[in-house]
Amino acid sequence: MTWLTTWLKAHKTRTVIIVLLIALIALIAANLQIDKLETGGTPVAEAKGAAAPKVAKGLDELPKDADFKVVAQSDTLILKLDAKTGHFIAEDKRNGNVWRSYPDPNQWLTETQDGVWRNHLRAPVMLQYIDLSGNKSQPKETDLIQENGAVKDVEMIPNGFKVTFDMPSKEFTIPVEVTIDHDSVVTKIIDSGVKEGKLSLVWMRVYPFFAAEHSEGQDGYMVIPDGSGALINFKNNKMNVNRIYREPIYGEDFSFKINVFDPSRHQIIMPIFGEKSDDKGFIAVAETGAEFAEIIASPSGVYSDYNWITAQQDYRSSFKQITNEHKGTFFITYNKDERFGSDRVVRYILLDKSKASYVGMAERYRQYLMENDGLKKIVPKEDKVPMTISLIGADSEDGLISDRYLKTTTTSDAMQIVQRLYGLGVDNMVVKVPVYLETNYALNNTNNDGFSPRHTGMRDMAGTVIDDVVSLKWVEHIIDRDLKNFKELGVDGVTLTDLGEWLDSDFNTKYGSARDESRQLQQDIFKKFKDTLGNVRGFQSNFYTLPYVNTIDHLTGDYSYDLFSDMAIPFAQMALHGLVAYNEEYTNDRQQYRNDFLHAIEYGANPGFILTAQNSDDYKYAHGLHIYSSNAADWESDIVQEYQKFNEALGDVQDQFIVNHQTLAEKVKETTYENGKRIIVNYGLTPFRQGNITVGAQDYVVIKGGK
Amino acid sequence: MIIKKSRYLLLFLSMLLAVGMVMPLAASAEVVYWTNTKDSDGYLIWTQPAYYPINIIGEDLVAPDAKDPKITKASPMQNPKDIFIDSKDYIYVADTGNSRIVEFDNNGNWVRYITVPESPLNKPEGIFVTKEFDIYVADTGNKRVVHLDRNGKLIKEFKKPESRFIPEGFKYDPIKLVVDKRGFLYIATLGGYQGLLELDPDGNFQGFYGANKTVFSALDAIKRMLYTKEMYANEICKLPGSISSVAVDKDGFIYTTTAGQDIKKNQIKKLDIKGLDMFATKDEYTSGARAGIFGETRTGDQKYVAGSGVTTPQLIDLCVDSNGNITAIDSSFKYISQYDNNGNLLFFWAGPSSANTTQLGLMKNPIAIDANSLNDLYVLDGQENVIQIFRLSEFGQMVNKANQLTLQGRYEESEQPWLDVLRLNSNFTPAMLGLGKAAYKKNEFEKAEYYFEKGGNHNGYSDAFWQIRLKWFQLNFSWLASGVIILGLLFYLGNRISRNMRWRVRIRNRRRSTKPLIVQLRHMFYILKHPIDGFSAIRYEDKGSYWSAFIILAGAFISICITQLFTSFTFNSIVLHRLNLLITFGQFVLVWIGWVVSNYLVSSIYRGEGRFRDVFIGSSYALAPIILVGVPLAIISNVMTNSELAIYNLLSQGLAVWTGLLFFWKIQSMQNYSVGETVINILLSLFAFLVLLILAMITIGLSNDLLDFIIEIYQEVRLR
Repeated sequence: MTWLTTWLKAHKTRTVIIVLLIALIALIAANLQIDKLETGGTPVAEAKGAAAPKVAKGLDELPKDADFKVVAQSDTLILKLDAKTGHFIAEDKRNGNVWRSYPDPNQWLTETQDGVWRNHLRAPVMLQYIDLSGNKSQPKETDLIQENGAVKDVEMIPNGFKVTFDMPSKEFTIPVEVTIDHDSVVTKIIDSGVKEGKLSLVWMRVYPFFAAEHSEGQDGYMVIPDGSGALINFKNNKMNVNRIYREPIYGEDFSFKINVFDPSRHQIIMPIFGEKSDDKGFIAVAETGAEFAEIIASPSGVYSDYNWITAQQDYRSSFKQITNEHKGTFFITYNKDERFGSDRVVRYILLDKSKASYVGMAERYRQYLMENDGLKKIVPKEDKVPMTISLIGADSEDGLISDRYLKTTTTSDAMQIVQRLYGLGVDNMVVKVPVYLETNYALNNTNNDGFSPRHTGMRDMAGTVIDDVVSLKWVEHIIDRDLKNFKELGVDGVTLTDLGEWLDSDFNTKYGSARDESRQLQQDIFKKFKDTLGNVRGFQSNFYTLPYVNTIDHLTGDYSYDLFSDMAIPFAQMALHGLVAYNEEYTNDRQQYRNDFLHAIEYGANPGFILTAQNSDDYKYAHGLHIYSSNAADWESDIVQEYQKFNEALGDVQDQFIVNHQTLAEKVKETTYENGKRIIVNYGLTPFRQGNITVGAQDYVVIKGGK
Repeated sequence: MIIKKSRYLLLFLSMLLAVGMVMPLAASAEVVYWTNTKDSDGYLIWTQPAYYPINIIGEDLVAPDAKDPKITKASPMQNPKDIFIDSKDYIYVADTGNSRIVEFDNNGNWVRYITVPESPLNKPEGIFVTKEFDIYVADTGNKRVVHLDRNGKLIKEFKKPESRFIPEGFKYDPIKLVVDKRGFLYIATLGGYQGLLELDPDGNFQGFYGANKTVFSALDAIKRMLYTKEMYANEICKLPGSISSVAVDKDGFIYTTTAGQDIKKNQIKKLDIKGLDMFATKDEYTSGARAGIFGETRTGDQKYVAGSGVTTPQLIDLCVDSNGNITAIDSSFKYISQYDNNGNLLFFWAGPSSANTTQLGLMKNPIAIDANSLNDLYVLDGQENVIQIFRLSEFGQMVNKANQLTLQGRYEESEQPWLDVLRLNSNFTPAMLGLGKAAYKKNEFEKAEYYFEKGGNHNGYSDAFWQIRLKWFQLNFSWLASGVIILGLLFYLGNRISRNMRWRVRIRNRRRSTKPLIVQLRHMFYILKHPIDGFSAIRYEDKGSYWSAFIILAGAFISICITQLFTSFTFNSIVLHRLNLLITFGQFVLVWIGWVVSNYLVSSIYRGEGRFRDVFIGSSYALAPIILVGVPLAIISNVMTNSELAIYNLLSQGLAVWTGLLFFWKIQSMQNYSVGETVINILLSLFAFLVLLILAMITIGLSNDLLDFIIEIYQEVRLR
């Protein structure tokens, strides 16, 4: 039979080729005509591209300190502006630190980068654009200096200034506001003033080289929000492969997804980035418009010798334009007519000298969360950590004729499991029964509630229905109804999955929403649940859900193992501990049992198991379940043991902030809490000794405060 | 919800790819890739990582500048091709692009470059170091193998050996080599389909070793049969696959990998002294079609490459660690697959890294692999020019410990380690098989039977059942024997005594039903006894009807289902969880209709006398043996073991022959053919069936495209 298919394929290919050839000829013919018309008529935008003014290599390339004038003062900062270049300097009154919106001039003379990138380094704004009038153009990068643009309309506003970057050669106008607020410098792109001409903006980086520094042997690093956080040390790159960190905040937008999926990366759940160089350090938070921003961290040696980190503001994303019914053929393009809206605000919080470390950054971010999102300290029920027991109700598998229903845990099974555990001493349990309590409003694969993917489902940029994913605007009325039922059932909490983790633009014509609007809608849903039931848990949630959740399940405690990253840090955990409780991976689904136990202890996470009453090899072929081993009976003793160990280590610090975290030796970490309790974890295979403290191999010690 | 587990979504991958998009997923913790194994049916099992990446080396090499030796310049490896780790755990890399060998110490620190200045290396692609630290380099660009002392001084070079046994066209481009304890060299040459070139320590040709077999497909056979000599000579030469790499284990066994798009089997070979593959009969448990296939992929992984269709895994290098585990790397899917020393799959993991990231544990182009004495795996990435190091994880260690005990035959000791493994991963197939063996050894046959069935080992199941059956017989023989004798006697006596009693007479002379349908169905038994008469009766005496035919057809279908569902695990090769009766039904109906139609059409133009009705009804009646033999056979198979395989096969083949004969007689008698005519008719019918199938496929294919076209035009018009 194979030869037949081959023949068919060969034949098909031939037909397709012929059709394509004809189409191509037609296309060329059509295009030729257009080209003729165009060359006769309007000039092409490229033609009047301006050249950067020539400046001799040296310090003259950068703004001069004398040109800066004070424009605003706060209790801690002085803001100065150079109206000629549009660059600013912030001076910290506390310690005299000077922060520049351009690369450090002390290192400029040793900078070897030439050409376009040298201009990029000097410019206050850098952008990428594309000519979408043709169909074969590629995005190009440029900057204010490269285009010989102007700094116009300099205007003083309360606490800062406003400038407009004008690039007539490319017809872009970008108004930017810079203000100071106590210890923060806030930059803002005013969306209403952003103008495009024939060319379309793809992204913009405003003051990307704020605090950029060479690696000169100083103690310095960049903090990237990769997973729970990671450090990129300042170092001299000698690597064969130089790459930068570039990830969208809150993960990739489904509607603009092009690449086949890559399970190896952790998404950004917190919109932050930071940098430390000796005793200078800042933590930046992407505020308004973070949904459209990406974090870029470029280590020294990649695009220049400067280490720089910034938030790149996206205005368009490429997407797959499907061109046939079977969705097999497509081309990749951008949306010409519309760009992503919303102002873009980034807050750089400058740290005092003693706080210039990732611990200080996390501490300041925690304070930021408490002030801005109103987070409050947890009031633990008792001195015992909550043990989360998730019970899997049911699943299905392929059956002889139709799908077979697999019952894994009945209600009475659940009662029994819980009672047994209670009897064994696990007295603080959160029990989750997914059928009722864990609620997924983002996915609907049963077409219940009148859901129809075609009409009320999410659509991507190309208009393709994304199976089972529900439009957020449509789902609201269902939530209202369910909430009523939940209340009647006496449910005292829910875990919201997918919502809060996936953030996408929805192009459904009736119920669609832009990405920032989706974020708002998700927050509204979380709020509704919080107000009605009082108890909401997130699942791998992004940080915009923080005001509404009291626990995050599966909070990532890892990074993406990029070669440029030097160390994973518990940044998210340091910011959250004491404010929001969190779990890591289910204990019985750990990758490495001992190692991950130590990890949870180090990161201050609560324990959790996922269980079934049935033996898990009975649902080997189940559609959804792929828990390594979930038989409740197999895990009883471990649950009790873990419960005791976690209580001993973390029971009395549930409401305590993490005030320090450090590496004592290779593979030995120490976490310190507010009340002085220290936990030293040794992942290594040899014991660790410090003074009279000995930590065994693959073990940990808890040192009570004051000792 | 639990469903959101990242791994779940992989199952939906193919579905999502079809839609052209994929869900964003969270990474798995600690390692950036997934680890799997497969059960004996090839079903994917998710496991904890067996290895985790610990480090990368070779990314910061420097060398003195050629112009100014005082300055050191970055000197990354270029297109490196081979890696070797010696007994001190020092690491050697054949840095092909830079024509040098790079040596690192056991901690991955650079030690030296070996370039052999007295006779410079030229694009060396293979490296081997003996226990005595003699270095052998496959110096590909110079078409030689060089033997260096531990200081890198040239001792001897091996040029192409002179021998009348070496074919004239033989190209001597050494790419990989191993040296055995005697100092004999086994050299893999580029494109060398003759096998490994074996040289003695003096460089004399000893022979070719471990050649692969030519892949010979059915299509080739047809070509050979039909083509003239000239046409056949014009065909692309059919050559055996060439050996891509070679390795040697601590016992001196030589292992090879073979790569090539045509290579679908025996990609890994363990060669005995004669050069024969010890894995040819490998695999105690992977069943049927999957036996002897190495290189693993996940469902939905299939990659299409323009021109060559679906890509298959290409195993380009392997290593054998101190546990005897064989680890191979696949250059097309970038997976690392690990097998134990019997060739049974333990794990496979890793995968490609995306174009613009470099992550610990993911590779762009894995090209060579070796293991050190701690069983850490060193994988050379030929594109990133670095070496990734993987270390056995907690779970990997547990599995290894248990599996070593099983391989050594210490089954009882292996029981607890396997139970520990199973507690962490309740579907881990090797654990079930290990436990099956342990239970068998401890005479716990019921348990053994349970584990063997779960693990998919048909032979083990059969053996365990044999023991259970024996025990049952031993226990129950006395009353069973007496029972049989008593029953036999009773029957015999009862029969004799009651023979002339009134109720027996009444039964014998009962009025047979005259309902036409019953009569027609009863005709089935008549056909079995007198097929020729029986079928002509259908043709000429209307002994059958559509109704009866449908009932028999339904019966046959049900029998097929019963056979598939209830045949003993010993004999049943159907994978039950994949069985879908609707699909079985569809196939049955299609084949049936296709046969009836083509047979009728052929008969009607080929002097046949049968009507469509006769063909239809007759063909149904011919299926009778499936009902009458198939069902009982499925039932009694449950008390049979492999020792009765001959009986089972006799019955099941007898069933097929009987059915075939009935079809033959059906055609002969209904169409009134001679034997010769019947044969021709059957051949023509089969041919017609084939043509029908092709036509159907073409029509469906074309109309599909046409339909798409119309739908798109319609939507275009409607939406504009």
